[in-house]
Amino acid sequence: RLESLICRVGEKSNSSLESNLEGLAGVLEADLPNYKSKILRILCTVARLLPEKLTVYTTLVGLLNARNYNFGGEFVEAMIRQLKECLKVNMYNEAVHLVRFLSDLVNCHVIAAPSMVAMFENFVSVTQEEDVPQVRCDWYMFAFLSSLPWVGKELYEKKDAEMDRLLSQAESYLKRRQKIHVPMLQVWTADKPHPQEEYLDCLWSQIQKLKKDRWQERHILRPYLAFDSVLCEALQHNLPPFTPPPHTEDSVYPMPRVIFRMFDYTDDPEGPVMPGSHSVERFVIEENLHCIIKSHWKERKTCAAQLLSYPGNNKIPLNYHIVEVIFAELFQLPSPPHIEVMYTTLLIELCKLQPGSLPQVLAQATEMLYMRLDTMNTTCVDRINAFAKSHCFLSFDRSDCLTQDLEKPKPKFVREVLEKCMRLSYHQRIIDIVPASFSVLSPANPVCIYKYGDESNRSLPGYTVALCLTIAIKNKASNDEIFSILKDVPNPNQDDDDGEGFTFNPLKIEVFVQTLLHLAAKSFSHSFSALAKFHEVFKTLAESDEGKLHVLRVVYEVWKNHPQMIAVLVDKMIRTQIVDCAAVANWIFSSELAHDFTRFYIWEILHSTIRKMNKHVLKIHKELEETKARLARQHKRRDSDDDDDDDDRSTDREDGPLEEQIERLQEKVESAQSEQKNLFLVIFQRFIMLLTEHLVRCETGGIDVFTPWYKSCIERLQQIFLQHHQIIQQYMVTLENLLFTAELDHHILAVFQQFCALQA
Amino acid sequence: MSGLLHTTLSGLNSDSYCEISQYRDQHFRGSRQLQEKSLKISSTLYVGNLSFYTTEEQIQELFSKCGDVKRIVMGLDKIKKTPCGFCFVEYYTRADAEHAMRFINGTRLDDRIIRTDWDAGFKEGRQYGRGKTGGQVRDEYRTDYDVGRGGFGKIIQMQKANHQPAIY
Repeated sequence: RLESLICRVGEKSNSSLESNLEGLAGVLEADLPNYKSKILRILCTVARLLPEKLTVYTTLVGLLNARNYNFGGEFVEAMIRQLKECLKVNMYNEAVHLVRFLSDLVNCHVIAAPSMVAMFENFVSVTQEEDVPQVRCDWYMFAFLSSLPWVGKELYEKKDAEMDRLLSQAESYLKRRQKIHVPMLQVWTADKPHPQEEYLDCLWSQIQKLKKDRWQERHILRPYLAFDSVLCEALQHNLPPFTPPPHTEDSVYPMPRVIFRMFDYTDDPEGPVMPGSHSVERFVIEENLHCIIKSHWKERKTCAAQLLSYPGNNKIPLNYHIVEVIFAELFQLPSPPHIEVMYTTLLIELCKLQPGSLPQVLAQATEMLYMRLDTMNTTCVDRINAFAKSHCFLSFDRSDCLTQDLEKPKPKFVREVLEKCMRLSYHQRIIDIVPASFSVLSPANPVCIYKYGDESNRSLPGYTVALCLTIAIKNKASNDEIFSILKDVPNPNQDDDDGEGFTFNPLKIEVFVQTLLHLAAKSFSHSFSALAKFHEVFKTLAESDEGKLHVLRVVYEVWKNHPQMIAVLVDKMIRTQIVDCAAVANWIFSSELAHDFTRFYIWEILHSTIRKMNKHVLKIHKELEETKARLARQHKRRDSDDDDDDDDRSTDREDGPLEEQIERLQEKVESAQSEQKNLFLVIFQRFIMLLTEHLVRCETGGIDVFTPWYKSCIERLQQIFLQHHQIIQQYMVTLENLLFTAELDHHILAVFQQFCALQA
Repeated sequence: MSGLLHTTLSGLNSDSYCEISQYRDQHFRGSRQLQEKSLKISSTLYVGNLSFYTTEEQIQELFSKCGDVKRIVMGLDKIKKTPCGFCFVEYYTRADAEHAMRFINGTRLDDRIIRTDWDAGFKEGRQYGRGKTGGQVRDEYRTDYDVGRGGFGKIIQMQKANHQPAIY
């Protein structure tokens, strides 16, 4: 009941916010004798989890402090404890909200301004620490600066000299910090019309402007102003001196960000003016909207309603802010904070609630995104792709994409969207809606290509065996029968006199895989059944690395018109261990696939492969930890038994099976981790080879390096680094010494250096 | 007050799209309790209101937005063995299935609003419609004309064929 009362204060209600707060303060004060610790706990939690209602809760705490000084003190203590806990477990995003809450408590006369300034002094002094990652200093700077919109005025009024000193220290830190990582995180490579600023730079500009405006901030709702007479009377507490916990090996700080902007005041000439990019209002609005999404993402209708009921509706172009914030999250590199599909569905709900205004803003946004495709990061283009087809994005007056080379971003984008549209409907539908002039962008009819199909192919080697196989499979032949039919297939490699050519027979693979896939072409289910039924044959034929690679090649030859089929088959083959992840990586970078290298489906497959590998490692690791825990519990049980049964042999016997299991799992973990490392090394190696080839060719030919292909390739490499940065960090030594050495072309080395700068 | 960080607020944990519905499979082998327990841990979804022409490929494309799909089983007319407008989608993890309940349920596929619901798990035989004429029960009784689901409901169709007035 208390929880519900506290959580719901501030929601739409018949009474005013002030009277609700007053009422709630009264109820809580009365409940303090019996429920104090519960109330403390709930308030601390809403401070952490509902930052969008920060000022509502700080006012509430202010009122309680005015009525009960001790409670106020205990609350502040509890908050400090919570803050320390957050920092210890790397919950830095939540810690920022706690710091902001504490700073707003100054406005509510709960905390004395000088003690808050002292805390900020300790924060800023982190920037003087030596040998710590820049991201650590960044966080403390961010926590300080981002609280100023709320409390800057009050702190400056009470302690202007100290604040000036802090701000000049901030300025010098921001000037000297390195920003090599920024290009990796930008959504657009161009700076016009909206520069993509590094988040601390943007915040600093905003704070500087706020200071110039004498700390006048008018956007934030401050319920405590209405209670000024009551709160003034309250006694304030001093924050205990706060020493930032030291940097440890286990500390993981938030990654740097780039602020995404797509709108400015010119975009909505009719409505209220959009706050400028360096205004503190912009910062606050964006923070709050992000927090609302974070609180309600699972409930799409609630989320949409909460976003649309953000206060200040008639003073700010709220629809534009909402759309901008949603796209900011969708395009965030390396990954959006929430699953991509959530954003599409959320936009649909928003359009349902505001059918008269939001769809137009969305249309404006998508138009602009399309116009600026050329300079957009490839990974972000992929994400629009996914969202575009659900919003009837395409209209065919975009003839600019026809006059360009098909590899350029716009035509490429249209092709990918059409392909995705086809996957969600069917080929004929796409052919029907695409005008004839655009047909070059239409996807291929997703039919299978069977090389032994026609009588005219009689002369192909293996043709007769293919016919035999077809009949046998149709007659429900067993694996053994298949083997015996395949025995007759000659090995084109047999002339090479090495033992390796013996097991790897490309022609056998070709005949078998082509025939089987052709017979099972009807649907995914048919193909999966075929893979399962003849698993043994697959495993044997694909035993060697070359075998695996060749199986993949044949799958591609058969299904190159149906990328979706290729993707699901590769997925199944990895899961049933017909091929391994490294084989898939090598196949993707092979010359046979060069033509499709920049297509979206290829990267879907590669990222999916890496994901499977990562999940596999985590799974075995988890098993190992669970087994170790079981052994520990067993020991504990034994130790707590009062039996004098300390016969060593019997304890060994008990522990034996578990210890064996642990040893086996340990080996499994090591082997999986080694496979994982190998996968990444293969990928990086192949990228380097491919990019170097291109760079050399351009140099000798005197042509510009920066082709669409090159842009796409470099950005895909960046994305691999970004998306899996935690895992890749483990391989730094190998990467530095083996792959990303100083001899490498500076274009490629730059990507590695940007990556290193991320958590430096 | 240790464990402050573990405090959650039930008001903030709302996840209504993932709740189990009122539907219980009458053919389920086992107690109501067991069925409910299975529904709460399942990673399989029932998907309804599909067009008869919607393919496995389309379903795969849509549902893989929420995670890797383990298997799709198309619902079939018991007599004709052709798709009859429903299917089962099984994910590898429940978390992925939950995303589908939150973000795909109630959205469009093939221009129809589709519905997802928790399923206790696919068993052989459950891929068949349970209506008398082979399709789904709902297609026996419905009175509207739905071009993606064979036109009029089966009973209406039979009545039309016998030139009988429809009984409402």
